[in-house]
Amino acid sequence: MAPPQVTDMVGRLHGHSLPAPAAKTIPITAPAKPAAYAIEMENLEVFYGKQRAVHGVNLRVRRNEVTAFIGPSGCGKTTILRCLNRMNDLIPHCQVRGSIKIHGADVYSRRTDVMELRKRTGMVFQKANPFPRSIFENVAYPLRIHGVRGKHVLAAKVEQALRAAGLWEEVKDRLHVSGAALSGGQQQRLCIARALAADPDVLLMDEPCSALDPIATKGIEALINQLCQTITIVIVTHNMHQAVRVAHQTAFFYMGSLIESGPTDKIFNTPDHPQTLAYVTGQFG
Amino acid sequence: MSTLSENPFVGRRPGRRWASHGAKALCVLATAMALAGLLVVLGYIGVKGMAYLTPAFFTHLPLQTPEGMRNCIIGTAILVGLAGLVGVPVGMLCGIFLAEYAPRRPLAQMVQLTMDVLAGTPTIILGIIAWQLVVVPQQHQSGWSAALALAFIMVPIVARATEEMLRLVPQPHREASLGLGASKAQTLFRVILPAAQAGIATGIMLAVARVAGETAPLLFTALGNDQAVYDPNGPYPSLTLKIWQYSQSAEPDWRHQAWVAVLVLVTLVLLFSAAVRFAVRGRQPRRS
Ligand SMILES: Nc1ncnc2c1ncn2[C@@H]1O[C@H](COP(=O)(O)OP(=O)(O)OP(=O)(O)O)[C@@H](O)[C@H]1O
Ligand SMILES: [Mg+2]
Repeated sequence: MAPPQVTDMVGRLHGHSLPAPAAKTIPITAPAKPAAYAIEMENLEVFYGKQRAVHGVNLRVRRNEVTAFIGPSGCGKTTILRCLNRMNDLIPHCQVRGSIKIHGADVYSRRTDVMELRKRTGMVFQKANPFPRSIFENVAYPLRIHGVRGKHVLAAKVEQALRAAGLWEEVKDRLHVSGAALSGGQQQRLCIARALAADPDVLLMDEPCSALDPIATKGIEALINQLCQTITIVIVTHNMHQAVRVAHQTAFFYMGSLIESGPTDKIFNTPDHPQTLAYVTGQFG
Repeated sequence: MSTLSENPFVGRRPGRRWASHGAKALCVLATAMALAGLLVVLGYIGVKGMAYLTPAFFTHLPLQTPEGMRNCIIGTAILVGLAGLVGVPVGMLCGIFLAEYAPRRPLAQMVQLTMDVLAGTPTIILGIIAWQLVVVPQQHQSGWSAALALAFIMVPIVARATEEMLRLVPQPHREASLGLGASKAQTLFRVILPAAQAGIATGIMLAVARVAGETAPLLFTALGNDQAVYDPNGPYPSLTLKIWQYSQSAEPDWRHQAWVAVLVLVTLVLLFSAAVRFAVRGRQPRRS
C-alpha cells in the first residue's frame, strides 16, 4: 500500500472515531501531576538468561488514553507488557532492570503486593485462555477470588462484564456451557469480560483481535473507545489500521528498543525516524 | 488423456504403506496377547473361586464351620483405608510441591530422588522399615505398622501421578488466574487441582489397588488375626495374608478357601476401580 493512502485514512478515521487528543481533560501543559501518566517506564531492560530482549526503554503512558505498541514480531512488545503486571515473574530466568511506576507506585519494589497489582492491571493474553469451566464461572472467577459473594451480585456483575465485552447476547442462554466450547473470537471476548470483571484501572491487551473477524474486531474497538473514558489501555497490535482507529498514542519498537512514541497521527504521518515511517507504511515488518 | 499411472496420488513407494500396516499389525498382536493373558488369569481365578464360593465366606470367621473370611475382608479394607489416610495426602503434597513450588531446585531434586528410590524399593523392605519403626519399639505386631508399610508404598505412586497430572495443566490456565490477581494457593485449589482431579483420582485408585494386593510387607507387621478384632494396636486380619497362609496348606479345604479369597480380592479391587472411574467421569473438562 502506498504511503498517501495511509495518511488519508489516518486523517479521516482519527477525526471521526476519537476525541482529538487536545480535547482531553488533562492539558499537556498542566503542572506534572502524578495523575497525568498511568505508567512510567525508566531505563527498562529485560533479560531472558543472558539474552537481552528489551534495551533501556523510557516511555510514559498517559492516563485514560489508549496507547498502541507496534513493531515487528519478536521486538519485545509482549515482554514489556508482561513486565507491567509482573507476569514475567513466572519465567524463571527472566530478569527485569530499571523502574516501572503505575499510578506513581513502583511495580518492582519489594513492598509491592503483586496480587493487588495484577488485580488492578488487567491483562488479555495473546492467545485466548479461558478456564476449562462454564462461561459463567470464567467471568465469576476474579469476583470470587476477590471476595465477592452472593448469587445475585455475582450474576449481575457477570452480566455487566459480558455485556461490556459484547458477548452477552451470544451466550446469555448458555452461561453454563464450557468456555472452551466457544469459537476463538468468542473465547477472546470471554477473556476480556473476565479481565473487566476484576475492575482494573489499567488494561493490557496483547493482540486481542488477532483471532477475531472484522465485526468482532469492530466490537472490541468500540469497547476500547468506551473503556478509555475511565481506564488506561495499552494494546499491542500488528494491525496498523487498528492502531490508527483506537490509539491516542503509539509507541514503535524495533529489536527491543523504543524507536519513537507520540500521538498516533504523528507516528503514522510525520514520524521523526525513517525506520518508523518504513514500518508504518508497510515497507518492512 | 490421463491413465492410471499418471495419477499423482498413486503411491510410488508401496513399501511405506506396508511398513505402516506392519507396525499396526504388531501393535494389535501385542495388545491381543496381553489381553489374552489377562483373560486367562482372570478366567482361571473366576472358575477356581466360584467353585468354592459360599455365602458363609462373607459372614463367618476362619476356623469356624462353615469357614469364612469376614474379618479378613474388613481388615484389608481398614488397612488400605488407614494407609490411604496417610499416603494419599502426603503423596499429593509431594506431587504438588514437585510440580508447582520447587521445579529445578536442589530440594525438589532430593524429593524426586527419594520418591524414585521409594518406588523402586522392594515392598518387603518397606515392611521391614515399618517393623523397625513401630513393631520393635512396641514389641508387638500391629495394624498401625502394617498401615505405615502400605503408606510407604502409596506415597511415591500418588506423588508421581499428582506431579504428572499437574504438569499437564496448561501454563495459560495458571497465567490467566495469576493475571487476575489470584494468589498461588487460590490458583492451585481453584484452577489447577480441579483441572487435574480426574487424573489424580486415577493415580490414587492405582495406589489403592496396588497396596490392597500386598502381602510381603504385612508378614511381620500385621501378622494376621483369625478373630473379628480391628484394633490397629494389635495383630490385624488381612485377606492377602490369609491367601498366603492357606495356599501353602496341605488341607484341600483351605486351599479352596484361598482361591475364593483371591476371587473376592480381585473383584473388590475391580469394583473399587470402576467406582472411582464412575465418580470422576465427565470431570475432565468437555472440549468441542
Ligand atoms: N520465555 C522466553 N524465554 C526466552 N526468550 C524469550 C521468551 N519470551 C520471549 N523471548 C524472546 O524475547 C524477544 C521478544 O519477544 P516478545 O514475545 O516480547 O516479542 P513480541 O514483540 O511480542 O513478538 P510478537 O509480535 O511475535 O508477539 C524475542 O527475541 C523472543 O525470542
Ligand atoms: Mg507478542
